[in-house]
Amino acid sequence: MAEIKLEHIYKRYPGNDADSVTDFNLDIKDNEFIVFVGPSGCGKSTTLRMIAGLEDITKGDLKMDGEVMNDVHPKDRNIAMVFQNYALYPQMTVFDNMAFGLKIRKMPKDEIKKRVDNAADILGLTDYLQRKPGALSGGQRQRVALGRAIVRDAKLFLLDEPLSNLDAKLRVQMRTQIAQLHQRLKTNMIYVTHDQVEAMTMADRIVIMNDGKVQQVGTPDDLYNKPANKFVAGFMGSPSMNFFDAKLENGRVSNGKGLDVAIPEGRLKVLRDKGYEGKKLTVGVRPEDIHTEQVALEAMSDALVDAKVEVSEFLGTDSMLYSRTGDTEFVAQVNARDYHKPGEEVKMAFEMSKAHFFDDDTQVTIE
Amino acid sequence: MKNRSLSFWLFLTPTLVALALVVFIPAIMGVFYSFTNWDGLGYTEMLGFKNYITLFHNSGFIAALWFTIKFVIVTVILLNVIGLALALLVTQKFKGNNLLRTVFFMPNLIGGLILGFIWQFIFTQAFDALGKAFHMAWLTGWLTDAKTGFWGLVIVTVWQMSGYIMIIYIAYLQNIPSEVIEAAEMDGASPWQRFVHITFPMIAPAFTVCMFLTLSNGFKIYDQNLSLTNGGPYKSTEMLAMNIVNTAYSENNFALAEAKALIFFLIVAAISLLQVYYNRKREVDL
Repeated sequence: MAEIKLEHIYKRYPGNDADSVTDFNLDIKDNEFIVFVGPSGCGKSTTLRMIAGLEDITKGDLKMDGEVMNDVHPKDRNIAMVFQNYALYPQMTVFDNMAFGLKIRKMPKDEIKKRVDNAADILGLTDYLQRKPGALSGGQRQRVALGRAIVRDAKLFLLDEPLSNLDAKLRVQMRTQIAQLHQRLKTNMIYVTHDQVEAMTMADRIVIMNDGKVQQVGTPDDLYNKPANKFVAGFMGSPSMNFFDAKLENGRVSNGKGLDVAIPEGRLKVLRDKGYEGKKLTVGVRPEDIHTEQVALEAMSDALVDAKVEVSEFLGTDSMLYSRTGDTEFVAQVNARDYHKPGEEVKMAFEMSKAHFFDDDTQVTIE
Repeated sequence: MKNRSLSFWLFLTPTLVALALVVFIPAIMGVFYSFTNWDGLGYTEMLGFKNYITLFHNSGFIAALWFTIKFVIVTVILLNVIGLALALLVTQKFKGNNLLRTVFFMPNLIGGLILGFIWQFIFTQAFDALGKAFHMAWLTGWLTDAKTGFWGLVIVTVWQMSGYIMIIYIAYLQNIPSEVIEAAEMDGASPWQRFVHITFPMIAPAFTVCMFLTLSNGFKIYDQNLSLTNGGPYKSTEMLAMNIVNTAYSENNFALAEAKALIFFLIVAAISLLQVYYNRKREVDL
């Protein structure tokens, strides 16, 4: 549909000393589903609004199919947008809400009807076309907002936290529906969310942001398994990765307060080659890489940690053990069979072949 | 339950008594007097509907009614158009919009009587001087005939009340989610199309309130009328309220004045309620 390039985009609001978005670069390929993810205030919505034309770009170029769009009015960018609070027109029926943009563009009536009926059919809204938004549920409203974007047949879809007002169950349903919609429409979509699960499940590529800066761009697999820095490692994954401040000595990382585990040969070589022997670093272990089953304890006997379970959550297939070793708290996600009660002293094996190591000063991944 | 009932009546009684003393009883007495030859002190005979028949043959009353209706139509339109325009202006993002809000609202803080005298000076002295200086005949002789008297009253009322109407529109304009306006912008609507299709329908409740206020205020206006033209020349700018007061206190015909006041009340109530009913139907929940 379209190739979109963001080149060295900056945003600074008048009266502010700092940039809200700093040096944002991204190439969006044809039909790609991009997700901007990050904590509140990280600049993801601002970037989206700059692409939409609702905010001015302070510096840098936004290009669509090679054409610089910085000064092009939002209506002329051929972009459709879905807002967090639906932004439906309350005085209009569902049909009119979807048809409004087409009527404004003076499209023939029969073509408008065809498009709206088609969108309503895709979204299961055919029975609600004559209702007003006030008479719809949250999920239906969000579908109308999507329908309003679909009928436009735009080059690019922008979705600004569209599911954050829905309840958990509906959110999962709508997530699937949006992913199906993307496959069906074969158009570029940029989706903003602060929910890393949404990002992981929907994106072709994820742009993870913090403090107005892009931290990493990559596939969900890249971001989860090869995080560029401690922030990305901590943000992606639920529960979050456990971090331990430790020192590398004699092939082991230890913090003198409970953590003292051996590092597999291959990983150790990299760390030594980079000069971390005898130095401080941060060790990251994902909760699912901590084990309590006997077979794992035997297999990883050089990476055992004595822990005390403080809180345990039974989740059906898994159990979350919120534990402590020395003065460091961490979470282990173990099989439900290995459930332990709070207060129990448990030996846990850290699967160090899957551990991540970060520079103590720069927080960048050591690889 | 008994206690609740007691406290309920305990709190309600003072208000009911006050309302009865100053509204209901005088109103009922007024209706009764309109069927008599009451002169403000007492009455000697029951006249039935004679006062009502008289007032519809009373050219002064009909003229005042017609003048008032014209005044109401013009001021309702101007007040709502200007009030909304000012509200749209000061809700834009620019430096000094708060100062402008204060400036536009300020005339509303001045009493109607004083305002009438101030504008009387402006119309008769300042307009006159400007008209002579720049040879613009239409600026001279204001308030000396029915036409300039009418427009003088309109200008004073609009100047005084548009700031107040502006405040109501501002409150509703600020309630419109910015996302809805942005969605319309993305849909390709021009600023005018956004106003017509999105903003205006969404401030319909404000329109109801402002129409009601301007309508009833327009019908009831008295003090500006008194201080600006005092109904002159030759009663040509006498409005309904003034006509009623004059009937009672100048002509000493209290009973006829009561009949006029009752008809006046019915007209204002009917128009206001009808207007509220029809405008309410157009309103939507946000």
